[in-house]
Amino acid sequence: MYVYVGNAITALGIILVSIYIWIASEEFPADGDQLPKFTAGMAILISMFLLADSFRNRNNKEKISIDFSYASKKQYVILLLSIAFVPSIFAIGFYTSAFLLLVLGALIVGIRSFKVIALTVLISLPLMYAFFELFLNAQLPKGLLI
Amino acid sequence: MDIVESFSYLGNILTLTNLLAMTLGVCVGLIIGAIPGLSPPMAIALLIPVSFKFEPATALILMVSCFAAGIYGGSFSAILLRTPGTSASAASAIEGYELTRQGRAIEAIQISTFASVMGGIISGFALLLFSRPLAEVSLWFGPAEFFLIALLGLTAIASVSFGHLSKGLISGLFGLFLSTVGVDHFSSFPRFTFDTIGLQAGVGILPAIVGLFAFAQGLELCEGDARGNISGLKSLSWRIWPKFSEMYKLRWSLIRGWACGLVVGIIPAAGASIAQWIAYAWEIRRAKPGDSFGKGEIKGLAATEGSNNGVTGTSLIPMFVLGIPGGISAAVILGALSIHGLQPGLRLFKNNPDVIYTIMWGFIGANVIMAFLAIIMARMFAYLTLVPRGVLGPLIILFSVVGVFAGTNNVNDIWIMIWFGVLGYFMQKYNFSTAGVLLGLVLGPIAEDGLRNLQTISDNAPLSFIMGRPVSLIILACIITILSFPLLRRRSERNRSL
Repeated sequence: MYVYVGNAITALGIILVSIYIWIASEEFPADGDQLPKFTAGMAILISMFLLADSFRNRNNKEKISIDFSYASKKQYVILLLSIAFVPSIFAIGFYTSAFLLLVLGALIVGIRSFKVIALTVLISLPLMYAFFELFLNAQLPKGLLI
Repeated sequence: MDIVESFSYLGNILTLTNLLAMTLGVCVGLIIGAIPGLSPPMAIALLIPVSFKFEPATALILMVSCFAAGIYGGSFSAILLRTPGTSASAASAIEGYELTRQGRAIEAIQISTFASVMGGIISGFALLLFSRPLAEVSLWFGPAEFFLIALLGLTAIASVSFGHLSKGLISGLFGLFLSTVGVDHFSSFPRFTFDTIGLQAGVGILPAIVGLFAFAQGLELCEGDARGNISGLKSLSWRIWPKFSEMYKLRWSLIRGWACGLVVGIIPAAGASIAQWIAYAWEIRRAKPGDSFGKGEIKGLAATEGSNNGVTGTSLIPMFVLGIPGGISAAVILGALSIHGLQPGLRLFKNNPDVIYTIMWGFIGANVIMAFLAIIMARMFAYLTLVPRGVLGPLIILFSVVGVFAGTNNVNDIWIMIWFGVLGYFMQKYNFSTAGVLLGLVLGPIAEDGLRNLQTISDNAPLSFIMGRPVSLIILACIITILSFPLLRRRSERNRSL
């Protein structure tokens, strides 16, 4: 897909969302609609400039490149791991989940040195305990394990 | 307020207790300011129970030292990891992180240290010597001015979006819109909550800043070669404090940054967030051929770092003199003042001059101590740039989650943080401004209160009301000038190429 097409689609999307915001704001009482309508109105105006600009640059044949290799997708796997991490800190405990996140995360992104992974875990988890639990008195969740 | 009289209290800070208070405040502020998810107001609040043991002056010295150091501490992670510890350091992440990627992390820290320490000291003297006249300036700001100041901040950010002005403005407007999510405090009517309990309280600034910068950066570090580090270096130099000759070359950028911080810091509530962007936009406006703004330009970093600490002293002026806090940190310090039996206002200067002037001298002294502690702490933090990306990415993600949970104790905020993280990751990829979203979120409540009150006091004729107020007209002129920067820059580049 060309970049100018991507920009045009983005601009149209923003216009549609802004129209929704404007309509949804109509029911807000006590002038609660002012700022949402202001932002929606300005967004529509600016998106029209963006739309016009994208068509003005339609001779620019720069394309949005999409890389399907694993190396370019690792961050999405880490994102899924992070999403799974959140409920797990309450289920199995914060430190156990953190240990798994650090180890699995490093392996997923390509770190193969167990010495590096072990050092990271041995330094960061006690530091977190000392700083957050002892100094800040923030009780980190405990589940089935620590 | 007698200037000569204020100097007679200088010796009060040289007691062992006050020196220890300054050192402790600076240490806590530096560490907590540097960790995304934790913030200077949190650090100051943590020190309140510790301060009960001390005399009022010592207790407040502890707080203001933490405040000054927290802002500088936020710059460490902004420059080294592109994860600003505070919203006041977001602008420094732009040039600072690019310098780190070029292997110039220590140079960036040197500039940041000098600019911040000197900015804090100059700001402290402004606080000490000019509190009363500067406090009167803050009274010139009414609803119209607050609304326009919010717009000024957003246009400043948009103008530094490097060729993507419309995307920068849209990012700021999106942040403004997000600030309306939640229960409206005027009417108690839920707006854009989609019947979700987690959104009733609105979108917090803490999850936003951690998500947009820290979590997004964690994802970005997980891309590509996991074994390489951010800077490409294998070792670091020891010299954190810069050579005077190097700083002399940056003198005008530093002076502009300090001036922005001093002037804008007086504006209650909005000053700290927007000073850095105005300084940065001003610096870009003065770009010469050969400058590489957006790709690691040290003049840009000098201006933003000068302004974000230049703000600290003057932002305390409305709080000390009028009882109007200039931001969240000042609000916490105001609370601490009350706890220690001190009421802000001119009476404080009249009845307790020894206390108030000692606190102000303590603020200046804390900035001096910060210069020495920076040598140790900055070096420790700079080691993070040698850690492999594949280790740093998951570590930053872990700290993002624990930082938000420790800060708010609310699991909904963690999900909001992750959502912002994904948003921030894609925004950076497609040249939208994550800092614009954050600033919109910060300035949204100020803008909305200003707009609502403006409608009321102007009898629904806001434009004619604004036209009748000189300060509003000045701010409006600044907005127009800043918006014209990118257009003028493009025109001059086109003329140069012809």
